[in-house]
Amino acid sequence: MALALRVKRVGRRGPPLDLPGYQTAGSAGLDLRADEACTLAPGERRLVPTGLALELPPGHEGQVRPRSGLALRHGIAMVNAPGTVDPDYRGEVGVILVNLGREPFDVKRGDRIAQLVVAPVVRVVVEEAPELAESGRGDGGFNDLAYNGAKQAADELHAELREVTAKLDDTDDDRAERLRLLAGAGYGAIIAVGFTYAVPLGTVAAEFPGVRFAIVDDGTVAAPNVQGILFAEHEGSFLVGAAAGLRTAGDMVGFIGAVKIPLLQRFEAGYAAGVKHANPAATVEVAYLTQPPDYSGFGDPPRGRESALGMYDNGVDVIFAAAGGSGSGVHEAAAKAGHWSIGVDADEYLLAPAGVRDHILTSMLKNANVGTYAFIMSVADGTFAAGNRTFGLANGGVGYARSGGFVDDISAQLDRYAADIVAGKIVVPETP
Amino acid sequence: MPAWLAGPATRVALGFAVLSLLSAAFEAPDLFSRGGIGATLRFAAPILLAGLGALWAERSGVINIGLEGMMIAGTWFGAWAAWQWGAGAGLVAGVAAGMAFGLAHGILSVTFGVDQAISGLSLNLLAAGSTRFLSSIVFVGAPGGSITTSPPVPDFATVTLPGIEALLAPAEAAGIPIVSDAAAVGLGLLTDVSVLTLAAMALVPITWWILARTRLGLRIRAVGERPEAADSLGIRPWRYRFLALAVSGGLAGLGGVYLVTVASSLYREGQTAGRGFIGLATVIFGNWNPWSVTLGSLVFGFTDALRTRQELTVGVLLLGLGGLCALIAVRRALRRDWRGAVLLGVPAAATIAWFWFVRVVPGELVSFAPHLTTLLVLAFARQRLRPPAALGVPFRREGGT
Amino acid sequence: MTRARSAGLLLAAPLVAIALALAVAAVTLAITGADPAVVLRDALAYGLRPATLIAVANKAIPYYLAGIAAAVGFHLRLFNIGIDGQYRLAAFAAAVIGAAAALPAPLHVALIVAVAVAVGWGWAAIAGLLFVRRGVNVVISTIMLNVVATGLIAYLLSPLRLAQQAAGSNNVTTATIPESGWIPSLPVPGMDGSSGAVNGFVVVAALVGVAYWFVLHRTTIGFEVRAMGFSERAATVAGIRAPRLALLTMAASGAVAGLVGLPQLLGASHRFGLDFPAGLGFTGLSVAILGRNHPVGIAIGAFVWAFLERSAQVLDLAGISREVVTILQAVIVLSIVVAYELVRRVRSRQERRYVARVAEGVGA
Repeated sequence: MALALRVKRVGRRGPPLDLPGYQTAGSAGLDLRADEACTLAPGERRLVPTGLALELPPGHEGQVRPRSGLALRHGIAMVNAPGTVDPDYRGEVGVILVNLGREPFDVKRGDRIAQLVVAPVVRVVVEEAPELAESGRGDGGFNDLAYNGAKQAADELHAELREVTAKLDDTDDDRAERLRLLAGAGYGAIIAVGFTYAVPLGTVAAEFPGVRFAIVDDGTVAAPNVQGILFAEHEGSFLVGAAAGLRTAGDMVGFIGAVKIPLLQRFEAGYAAGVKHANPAATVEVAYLTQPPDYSGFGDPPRGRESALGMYDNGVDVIFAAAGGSGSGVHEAAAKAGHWSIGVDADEYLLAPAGVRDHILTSMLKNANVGTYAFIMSVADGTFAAGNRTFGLANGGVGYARSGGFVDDISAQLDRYAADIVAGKIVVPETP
Repeated sequence: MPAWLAGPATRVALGFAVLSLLSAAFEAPDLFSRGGIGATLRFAAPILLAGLGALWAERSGVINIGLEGMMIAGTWFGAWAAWQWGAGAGLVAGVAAGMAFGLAHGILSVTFGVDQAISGLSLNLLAAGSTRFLSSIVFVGAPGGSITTSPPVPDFATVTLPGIEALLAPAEAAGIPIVSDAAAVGLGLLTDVSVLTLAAMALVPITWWILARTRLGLRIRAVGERPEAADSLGIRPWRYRFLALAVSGGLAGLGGVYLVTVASSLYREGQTAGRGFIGLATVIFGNWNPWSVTLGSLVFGFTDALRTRQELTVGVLLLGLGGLCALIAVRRALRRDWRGAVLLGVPAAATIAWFWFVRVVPGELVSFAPHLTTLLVLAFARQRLRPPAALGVPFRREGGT
Repeated sequence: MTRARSAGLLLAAPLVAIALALAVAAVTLAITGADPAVVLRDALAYGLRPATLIAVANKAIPYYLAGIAAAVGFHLRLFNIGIDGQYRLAAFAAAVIGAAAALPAPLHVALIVAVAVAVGWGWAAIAGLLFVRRGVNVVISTIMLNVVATGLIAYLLSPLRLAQQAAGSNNVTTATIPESGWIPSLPVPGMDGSSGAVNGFVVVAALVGVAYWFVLHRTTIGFEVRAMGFSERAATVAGIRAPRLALLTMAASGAVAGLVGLPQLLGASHRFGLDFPAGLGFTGLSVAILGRNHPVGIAIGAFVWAFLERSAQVLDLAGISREVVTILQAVIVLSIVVAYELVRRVRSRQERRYVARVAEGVGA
């Protein structure tokens, strides 16, 4: 059954024109006609009205494209090809033509000047969970990365992206309702960030079988329309741990986690294993800034700084800051104490100010953007597969940063460890 | 025995010596270290400012539960102004914002007679909501800014007493138990101290002098003790309570400015983390007297700094406290105060035994060390608490409107 | 002053408060560039759907219990900021013991409730004792105890001790309570599915409200509490002992607080994990203020609060900063207290005039 495109004639510039139609049975585009006569001088551009307002079928957009015949014969192009007609646009559709030829071009009323292709829209939404939202958006951290991946995909697909945030005293019911609202509003791909969404997602996914869901950092939801996006944080942490073990002069390294939750303990476990593997004589000092449900550890730079200073004062010379927004305090402390720190999630060398960045040895890259991008693209091109997908060393999900050049001398060794992990020769623990 | 030898100074010195020896014995050098003392000051200063703010308000008879909200206002407006125009502007803006909230508290509780605690709680709510809202308008889109964070904010300068490094550093490095620790404490207090910390410290004697030695202070205290009597003498309670609340809010706001400039380098949602309430605790701990408020903030700041820097030090501190309590219990037993001896001695012995066998206090339990310490001190400190007599009672004139 | 006039004035206060709050909301929305009328319409349309109303009711149940807990303390001007720590500790203990027990259904639920009440009662009693014996202000001690409770729960909620972690999950939880320890939800006629049922604990909440009113107004101890709250001097002269009352009140407040986490535990998640809702204590304080310590008022306040929070979800979807709702909540609380104070003054002035007129009439 064909979808209906409802049109309304507007403008009243003369007798009604023919409605848009397909030239042949196999044509992709409908004709759009000029509702007004005009002349385009060479190089001139002009908005030519079509005399139509459109109501596109739900979930579809209109793409306004130039006609190849006009382009070839007269050099008539569209300035903004393809133009986008949003599903909810109800104004008059106009075509912005430009004359790239050498002769003036006359447009008569009724001439076919462009074609309209109706295509489905993929709309996407990113959901943030509060315990990670403390690291905030805008500081380049994990939530930003997840969002960036989604944004990249959305831009490429010309899809709409909407972002929603949660609250700390939300119940499962609140989270489920949020998901329900989004699914009901027509969003075709919904990403939930954080394990707190696992249970509500299980309920809502069953209610909306046509919508594709993904949940980041959780692998417990089993449903045909849910994908779990997991990262092998322990593998990446192993590599930066090895870097720390190799770089430490006093055989004392440190780990500062934001909040003592299992997710961050995976970072700790991999890191400690990496340190010991590269430098069996080294010891690892571990500290967590706060305890759940106090998630302020994700956003307490002063405490991060004092914790780091405490470690540096007591002999540590490399600290891995798996601490979200508190990490900036750790890096500041490193600069102050003249030692090394290691960033997390994003390449923090690129985000830190000048005096601080030279103390950032490397960063444990958790490429959240890779996961969210892959999910949305898979929904768009039909290759979506339910179940858990782990992004680790093997598929570019995690890694270590080389910015600043501070690990150039040991990167060969680190890459060898990475290869060993991928090959299974090294098994990285996930719990401390 | 001369009087001064038996006084509090000796007790402090004795406690210091015991803890110092323990830290040497159990290899926890961070108990008294330059960095640790520096961190203590940084943790204590915002609490001290909040505590002074609470003191001013309470001395005039108003409970200021809204300190947290005033501090939040100080952090946001301080960060915003400092980001735009520099640290000095941040200072002014933060203090002004705190004062505005203080005056709002005054309008609600003094003019409208709303219950003081309720007005305070509501202001906290308002501050939290509006700063997030303002962030969404102002900080989102700025480089490094987001709905919960501000862009980086400039800091204040730090100062060092000239010559002190050369004087004390050798002693600090020598490694002799009590002497080196004393040198480290001295260096921590006198090197690399922020000017804002010094300002906060300076406000303590200023507060004391104003409240205890000036006519203004006398009137404020009168309003807090016997507002009806003061009113009959022509001292209008509402006027002085407003003043006290403005100062109270300004001090809390200053505490907020400290958090965004010195303690950290940006505004972060939730960074006050209950310090306003802890400041209130120090006032009660300090029996409504500025010097004891300072002591209370330092105790809290010290335990907080310790547990953040190196968790194992907390274990040693616990051991030391247990040991000291055991000594006091012994003294009570010698005086035939059996009940007192058992009450103190049993938990002390248990603590020592536990630490002896366990050695390391788990991180989760360490997280509440400062709070538990404050609670225990409040519970066991042997003092007669003397709050202002009219504290918390709205002043209403009889017979009129 | 006629009864009708008196009642009318009493109603005026909340109405004035709501009007003021809406005005503030409109202004803040306008600042962000949104159209207040459209937003209000959308929010109401969403909020008044039956499914939403049921969800709001479910959300309001813990708020109500927290409000009653706060109100118990408010009568003696004891501000139980510790409700948060009390309910979480209570829920945790109840979850652990509930999962380990195997009893027939009504007994199992009763055990869980009993444990929660006992733990909440005990934890608040610590603050009560500190107040009565050492004069430690309840606000301070309960705040400190909240932090201690958080630490204790964090220590015990670990796979090494009392909790477990499912494979592939990043959540740590207690073992799930067997079905005999579940409370069924009450389906609403005409609605189906999980969004069409009200949490069964609403029955207990209602009973608690009734008990609260009954104890306060029909028992000796309730009378003593009210008398002490009204005038400490008069009550002491009458022989009512303040310390004993304060302790009982704090403990009672904690006992009710212990129930706050149970709707979630018994009717929804059936286990305590890292994702257990936090922060309900402060909501309870606000709701008790809104409801003027009256069991029906608190119910209304809880419902309004929950309604605002739920409607905020729609704001998010519309791209509007949902902090508008937080500001709205704060403004409502502030304006209610101011409005009640103004009403009180008007009433007292009118009463005085009435009395003066009567006196004149008598003297003439």
